[in-house]
Amino acid sequence: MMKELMRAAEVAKIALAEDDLKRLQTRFTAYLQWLEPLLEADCAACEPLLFGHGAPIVMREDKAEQCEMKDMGYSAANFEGGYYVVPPIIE
Amino acid sequence: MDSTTISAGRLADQVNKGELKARELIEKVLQNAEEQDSRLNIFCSTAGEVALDQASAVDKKIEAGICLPLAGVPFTIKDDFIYKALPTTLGSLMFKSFYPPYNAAAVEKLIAAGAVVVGKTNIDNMGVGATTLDSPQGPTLNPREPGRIAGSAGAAALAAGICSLALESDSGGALRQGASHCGVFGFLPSAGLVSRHGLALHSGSFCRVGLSAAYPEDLPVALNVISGYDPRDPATAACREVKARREKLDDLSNIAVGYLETLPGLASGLHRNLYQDTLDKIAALGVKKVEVRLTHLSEALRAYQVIAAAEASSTLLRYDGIRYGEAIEADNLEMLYCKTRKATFNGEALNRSIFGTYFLSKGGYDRYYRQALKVWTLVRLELEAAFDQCDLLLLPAVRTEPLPVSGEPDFIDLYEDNLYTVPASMTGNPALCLPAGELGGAPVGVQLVGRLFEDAFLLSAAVKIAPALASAQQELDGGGN
Repeated sequence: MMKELMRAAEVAKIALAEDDLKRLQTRFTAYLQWLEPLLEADCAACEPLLFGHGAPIVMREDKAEQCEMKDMGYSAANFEGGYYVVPPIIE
Repeated sequence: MDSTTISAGRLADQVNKGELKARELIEKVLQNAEEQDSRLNIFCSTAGEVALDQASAVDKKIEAGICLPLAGVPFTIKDDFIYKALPTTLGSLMFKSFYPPYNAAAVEKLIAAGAVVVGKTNIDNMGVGATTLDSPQGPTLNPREPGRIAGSAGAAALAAGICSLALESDSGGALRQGASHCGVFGFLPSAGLVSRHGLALHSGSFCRVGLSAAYPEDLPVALNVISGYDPRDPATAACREVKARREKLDDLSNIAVGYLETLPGLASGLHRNLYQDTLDKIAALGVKKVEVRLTHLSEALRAYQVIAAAEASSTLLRYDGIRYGEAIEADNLEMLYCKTRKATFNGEALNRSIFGTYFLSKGGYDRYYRQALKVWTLVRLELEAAFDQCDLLLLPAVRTEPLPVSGEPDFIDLYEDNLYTVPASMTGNPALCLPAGELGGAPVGVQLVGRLFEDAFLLSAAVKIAPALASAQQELDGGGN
């Protein structure tokens, strides 16, 4: 279980210390136990649902539009010359 | 101004007729807000001069002969809605100085209708939760019982007489539970009726925009203002395609209310008695009672948790410190993401980010996520079957009295608190929490769930039913467990 949590934290891009992971592991174990009735539910005849109600999904017109980028960078901590400035990706 | 003594409709009427100046009203509102906030911890920020300017603009329009449906009505905004004039903190210290570049659709519409923003109300971290216990500024206290939580700071603002409307969000029941805890009306419209543009939602399937009010007759007016198609939220396109079977209720004796004979999970016999008492009061108005069965409540709750966690793990990925909010310095981009996100999330938002990632992984996808999607079908079929027999469904709104402010509740208990609110969350049905009495000195509400897109019908029924439930303090004796 610890391995799964570490991998999940890595994919979720959240830095967790060892204490955090231990605490999460205890919680996760209790959580999975609590979820048992979900696994026992008899829904073999059911298809997975993708949206809560059956109202029609309405598609918009397939029309190319100019993307408005005027707010790009508005709230960013580091934005220069139309680019988000970030630390190095490749060392 | 004490909004508990006058409805938003009457307030707007007075402002429209020139009997009351919006600016004078809002001055008093802001003063009251400041006093109450120091006691109850309701606001992340208050609007101050911005509110006064808005109120002056309303007064100018009235003088020019323009009539506004919500003229001068003070309202609060939950702090997961985007609002340019005030910081949108999303319940995280990493966004304490975040001023967004635009307003949420619902906020735009309320302001255009003449309503005035009082402030942004306290929320759990990233809006994930129904208690405000995960808020960086601490929980909002219950105006009726300050030793207990309010659940929703917007509902607390209403109960404290600060405002007349509260713009809220609800995923698993936060709006409805907060309304129950504070003794106000909390309304969750049908999914797709109200644009979510500008709501920093964490679950695309379940998060919805809703409204709370001290008077039920204010809700149809406010709903009319904020609902409708918005090309910026594709989910609203559905409401143009669907015609509600019934718009308004004329006669209570023509309808049936579904009820549950057994109420699993309710904390006490007193609460069960209150539910029965409420049902009897509704029946006394001429409404037929029909027993319905919801046998998958427990599975529905667990399916909701899995799907909500999975969606949160994806939706919350956008908060990486690059485009908005603060960032933690790091030597490389990967570490910037990881450290920033660790600093951004806490409590349930952190749990859902990690656990949700697991549910979508190879080890968890089929076993948990796909199973949850199948149970979602069961929930929808069960609710549809219930509505074949009744027009409205009466459910509890909460499992227990509001939690004490001190102490750390068990997280499983917090999940269980959503037992009766999750079905409507999952199916998109409209749901309204009405005050039904008191237990141990704290307000308790009940929930009326309506058919999809029959929001006007549900609200008109509630306006007729509410007075029968608004009796004096009900301290139910005996009962036991």
